[in-house]
Amino acid sequence: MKANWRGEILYAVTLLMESCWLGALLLFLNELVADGRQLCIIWLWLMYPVVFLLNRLLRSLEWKRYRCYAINGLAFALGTLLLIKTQLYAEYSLLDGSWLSALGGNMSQTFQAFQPELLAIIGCGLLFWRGWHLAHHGATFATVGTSFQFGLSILLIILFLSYLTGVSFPNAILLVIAFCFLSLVGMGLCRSTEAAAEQAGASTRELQLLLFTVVLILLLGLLAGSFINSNLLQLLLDALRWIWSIIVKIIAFLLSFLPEPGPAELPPPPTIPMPEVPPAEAFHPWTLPEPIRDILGKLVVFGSLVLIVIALYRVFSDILRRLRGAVTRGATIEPLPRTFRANLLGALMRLIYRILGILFPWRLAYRHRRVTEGQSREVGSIRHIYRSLLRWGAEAGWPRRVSETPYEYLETLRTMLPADGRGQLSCITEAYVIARYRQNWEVGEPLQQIKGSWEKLRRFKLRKTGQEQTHAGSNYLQEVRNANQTSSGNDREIEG
Amino acid sequence: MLIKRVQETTERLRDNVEKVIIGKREVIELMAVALLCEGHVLIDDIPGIGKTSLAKAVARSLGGIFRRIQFTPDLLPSDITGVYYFNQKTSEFELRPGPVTANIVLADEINRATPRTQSCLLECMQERQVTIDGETLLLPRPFLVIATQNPIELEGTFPLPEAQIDRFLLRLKLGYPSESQEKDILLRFMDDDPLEHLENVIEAQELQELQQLCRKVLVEDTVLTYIVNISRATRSHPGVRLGMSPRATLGLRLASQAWAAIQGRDFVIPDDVKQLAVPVLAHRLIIDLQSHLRGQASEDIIKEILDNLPVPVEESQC
Repeated sequence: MKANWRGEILYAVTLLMESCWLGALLLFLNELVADGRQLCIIWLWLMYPVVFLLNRLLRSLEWKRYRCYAINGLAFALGTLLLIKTQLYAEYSLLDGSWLSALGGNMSQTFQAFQPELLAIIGCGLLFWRGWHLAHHGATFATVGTSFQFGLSILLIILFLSYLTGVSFPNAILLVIAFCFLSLVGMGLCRSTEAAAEQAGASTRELQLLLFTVVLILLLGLLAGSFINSNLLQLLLDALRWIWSIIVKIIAFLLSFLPEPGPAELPPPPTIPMPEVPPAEAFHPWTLPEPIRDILGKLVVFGSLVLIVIALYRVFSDILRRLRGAVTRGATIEPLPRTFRANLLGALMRLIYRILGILFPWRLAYRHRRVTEGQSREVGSIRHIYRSLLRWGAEAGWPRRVSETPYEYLETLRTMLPADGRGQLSCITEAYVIARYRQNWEVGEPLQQIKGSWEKLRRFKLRKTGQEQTHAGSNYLQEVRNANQTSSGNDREIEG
Repeated sequence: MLIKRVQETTERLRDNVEKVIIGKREVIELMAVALLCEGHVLIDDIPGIGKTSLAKAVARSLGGIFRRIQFTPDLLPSDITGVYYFNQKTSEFELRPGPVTANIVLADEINRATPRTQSCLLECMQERQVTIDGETLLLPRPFLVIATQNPIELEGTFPLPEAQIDRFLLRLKLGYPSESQEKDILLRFMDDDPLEHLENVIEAQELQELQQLCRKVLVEDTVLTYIVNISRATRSHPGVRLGMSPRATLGLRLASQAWAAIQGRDFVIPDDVKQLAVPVLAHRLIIDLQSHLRGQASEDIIKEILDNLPVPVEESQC
């Protein structure tokens, strides 16, 4: 039941997320319409949920595909005509066929100027497509991720075009913020659904709580923003003033019981020249002073930017995680927590050092060297080769387990390889172990040899048998040790 | 290649001990790890397996002073640490050092002594010093305690306190020999005891140099993190009442370094850590009653942790 509830929320979030970029696109196009004959985009947008619900209904009825297509086509034609009629030809009566001829006339001028009729048709087509897509593909991580990627690209293009053409459309920034926020919520819900399916852990509850708090704050903010106006504030202030006047009256009443002091002659006060004080500006509690408003405005902008950055970060890291899962065909491999963050920070640090190195080469060159000296070129190449090997193994259906060491993984793959390939595999693993855990390459084999081994190895195909994975990496180590002992024993015999 | 020296010396030691102990190569190598780390060893197994023989063979392979203490219920702390006695000739108190002032101390059947006597080893094992009548004396280096105990017999024994168990770097189990090994034992001990003819193959001074070399074995940062993660995982495991101490973490690192050096490497790999995890950690864990009733031993818990903990290896490319 809970899962269904989450699923429905996810549908709503995906729908709203798509609405953001669709809305931005339609608003932008609406601004380009000729002769100021603009459409009411809200009415156009309403087509989207209607189409979505219609297609869900059709899906639940399990009708044949061609029938669904026919109904959708009919609904598209009727909906578009109805929209054009109500929005652009409202002065004609519905039964008067002359509006259709006017529509045809306007459509013929589409090549000269962008007509609102064309916008209505394009908009309806887009909304039908997205509504049908969402209803048939379901609200899953893939849908949310795709919507995010596609929507983000469209939003960026629209903002870029609006900057180039100088056309500004209303609520552009609001739509971007809402898009980011909804994508964040969507991703959170996907994770939450997944986690609920696996195990209701503490982290899931925390995430849900976080999401709930964010949503609550935003809703309260929206409610406050939409309801509170100057009249309401004035009403509140009047109520407060009335309460204060009552308190003052009570105090005055109590003070009336005290005896009044008798009149006494006081010496005239010395005349002190007082500096002229500029008249204080009237303070209106319901209008905030300009500096505070300025600061609040900056805070809102900063908060919005933070929200966008968090959304981008979270969504991209989730997409990366999914891609990793897809590459390994759903096998349980290392989750690599914080990898995306580490990669991102590493890239940023390299960029910063590069820039600073250009600006101050004499001061920061050594620091850059220190950052990169830990990994020589050979070490980097070998690690790269080993990463490719891991991917190769995973694609063949033998991903490395989280707890497997390189030698244990070698033992797993060795059983799957023909005898010719085992030597190459051992050579690469040996090289990797030295490169990874020794951090230098003074004693290793030539890099070209390892590259050659990899080129040979990748031509082999791993056997996809149902054989169980063995995790006895120590077998290989034992073989190596035995070989060493034999050789040292032989040496001793020779010496003897 | 200085590290090869460690490998060669260990091979010499192993070959020497194998003249007495048959088919227990890994246990002998773990004994070598303990020597290289200057860590104490607890050999815990049933009677007649060769615990004392192993300890004596290792001790004889080393130059330096070797003392054996047979732990019994009436043993007193002063019997181990030493005592000041009044010399009537000189009319002065003179120190008579106990058997603990040696390089290798074999504490045979350690769990037969009372906790009071057992506890007198705490200072010796950790600080490598002994306090007699308020005077503190440094013990000779290298200093190593090889203790044996019998887990089957409970009557007349006193379980070792946790503080003392934690001071043992390794706990080793010998196990029964295989059929062919047992036959080899019969043949080997046919004429006389080969232990009598064992020579020392490594001097105390040389051992100290090798210990210094082992400490220079590189432990990469992520491998260090892996060790710490193992340690932390034991503390949060639901079946464990008392997890690993920081001393155990340190011991695991040291033992991994020594193991890597024995393999002829000057750097530690996660396989070394995995190899040493059970002997270094299992005896320090206190498992809770439910796990105990389920028949889960501390070794199983360590293996479970190792099977689930991510090893620091490259991530596959996406």
